Amino acid sequence: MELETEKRDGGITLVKLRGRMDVRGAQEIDLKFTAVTTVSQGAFIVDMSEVDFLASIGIRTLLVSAKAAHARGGRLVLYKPTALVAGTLEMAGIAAILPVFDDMDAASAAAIAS
Amino acid sequence: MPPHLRIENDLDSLRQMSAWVAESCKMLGLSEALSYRFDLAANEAVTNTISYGYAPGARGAIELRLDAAQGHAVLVIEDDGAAFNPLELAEPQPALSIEDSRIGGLGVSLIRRSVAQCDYQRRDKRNVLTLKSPIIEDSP
Repeated sequence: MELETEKRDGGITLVKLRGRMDVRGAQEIDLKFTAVTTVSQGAFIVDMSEVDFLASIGIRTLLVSAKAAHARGGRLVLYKPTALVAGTLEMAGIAAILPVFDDMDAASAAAIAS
Repeated sequence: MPPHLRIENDLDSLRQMSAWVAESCKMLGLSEALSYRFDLAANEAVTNTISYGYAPGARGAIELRLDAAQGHAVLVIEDDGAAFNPLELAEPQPALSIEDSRIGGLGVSLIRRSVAQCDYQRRDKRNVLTLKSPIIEDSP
C-alpha cells in the first residue's frame, strides 16, 4: 500500500491511502500511519477513495490511528470509501468511532469539531 | 471441476488466495459485490487459521473450493490445523466511543456478515467452514 500526507487549512492533515488494506497492505503502512498520527497534532481526514479492499486488520490500523489522534486531542474521520469498503465498515459496527463522509467540507467540519 | 486452490499456512499466501477468489468468481459469473465479500470472509477465516491453527513452525495446508449451483454460490475452506469453530466465538459489542472500542475480534463478525449462511464442521481431523450466499445482481 501507499500512504501520502498533505497539510490542509485548519490544521488538517489529509492522509491518502492507496491499495489493498489486507494483512500485507496493513503491514506496509502501519508504522507510517502511526507516525503521522502521533507526530502531527490535530485533525486527520483519511482519504479512502483508492482503497480497494479492507479487512479487519486494516480496520485495526484505522482504529489504532484514531485512538492515537484522539489521545492527543484530535480527531480522525474517513473520506469517500468505495461502496464495497463502506459496506465492510458498516458490517464492523464502528461508525460511531470512525465516521465516514462523502463530502470533503463535511469531513473537514467533523475533523476540526472539538 | 469447480475452482480449487491449495495454499500453505503462510500469511504470504493470502494475496494468492485473493487473486484466486477474484478469478474464480469471475469464471462463475458472480457479481463484484459477491466476489468482494467472499474475498473478505476468506481473508478473515484463513488469517485466523494460519495465525492460531498451527504450532509454531508446523506446516499445514488450507484448501478452498468455490462452486455455484441452484442460485447459490458456496465457498468451502478446509484446513488440517487444530480444531477451531470460529462461529462459536461471541460477537463483539458495537463500540460507541473511542475509549471503549476494543481493537480486534472483528474478523469473525465480518465472516458472518459477509455471507448469508455459515456452517462449521470438524471432519476427519479437518476444519470445514462452508460459506454460502444467494447469487443476486444487487448493488453492494
